[in-house]
Amino acid sequence: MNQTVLRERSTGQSAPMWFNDKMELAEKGLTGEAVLIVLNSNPFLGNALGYYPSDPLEQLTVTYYTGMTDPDANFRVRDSHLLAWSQNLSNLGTVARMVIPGLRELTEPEQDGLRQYRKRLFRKV
Amino acid sequence: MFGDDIAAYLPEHIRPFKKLLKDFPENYEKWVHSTSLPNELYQGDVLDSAIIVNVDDQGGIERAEIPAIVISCTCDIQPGRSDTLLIAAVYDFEDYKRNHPLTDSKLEEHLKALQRNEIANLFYLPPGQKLKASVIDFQLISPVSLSYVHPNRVKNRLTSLSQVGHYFFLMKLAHHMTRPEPEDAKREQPK
Repeated sequence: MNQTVLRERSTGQSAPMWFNDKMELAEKGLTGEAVLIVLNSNPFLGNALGYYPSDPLEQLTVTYYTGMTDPDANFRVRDSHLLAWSQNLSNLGTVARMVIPGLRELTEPEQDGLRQYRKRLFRKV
Repeated sequence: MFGDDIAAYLPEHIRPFKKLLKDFPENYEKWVHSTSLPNELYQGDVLDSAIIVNVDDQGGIERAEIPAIVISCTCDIQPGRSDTLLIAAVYDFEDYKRNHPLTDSKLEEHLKALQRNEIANLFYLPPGQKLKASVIDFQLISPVSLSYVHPNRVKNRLTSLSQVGHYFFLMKLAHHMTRPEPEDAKREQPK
């Protein structure tokens, strides 16, 4: 198994994006080998992978298999797409707050107003 | 405002539209709707009329026959795919404005925030295609049978969203449904 030391992510690059880039790099460079990715002190990414911020996350290892061309690969146990899902959701939330900086919940009077407005439209069955 | 940072968070097919998102709410009405109605039903399409059901404070059932927007994912709502789809209530913006109990500056403030899409529970859609300016109520989402919608209600759609309009819709829906906690929120480990 290869072990490569990868440099830290560049300023401004999100941890999941960095991780994806490294996975893609591993996929391009190697075929049929397992790559061990060791993450040092990255609670944000650890959280995306199911860890809690309170977990003592000094080091996290992820084994990534490259070049899966075996036709039986679909029948093997595979890792879930948790990282992609959580990254997608996290990105949607981040963009929402960037595009709409004043994003907020309804205030109590607004919620009350909405409740009264709905009463005009709804009829008992 | 932010610089080019937003591009790193956008999926590839949305990156060409980053300037539109950066300039929001400017020109929102020009890019949120698609230019034509697709043949298939899409997430974010607005139906001319559908039934929204709610259980009231006393446990009674109430209903409203009003326009509705498709909340379910596009792949789940094609004929024969699943039994039901989720739709959310759509209100006519002018009617909402006329009949809202808030008054004067309070109402003005509320409507401004609504039109800037700052209220997480509501989604403002400007007029476009056959749709008048509308308010989508994310708090009132109902399941309806797929057979109830296909094919006649699909024919009578008021609008469909553009690619970037759909992303914008999804962004607000995801924020409303998942409400991410701050990163420093205290959590306990599961026992």
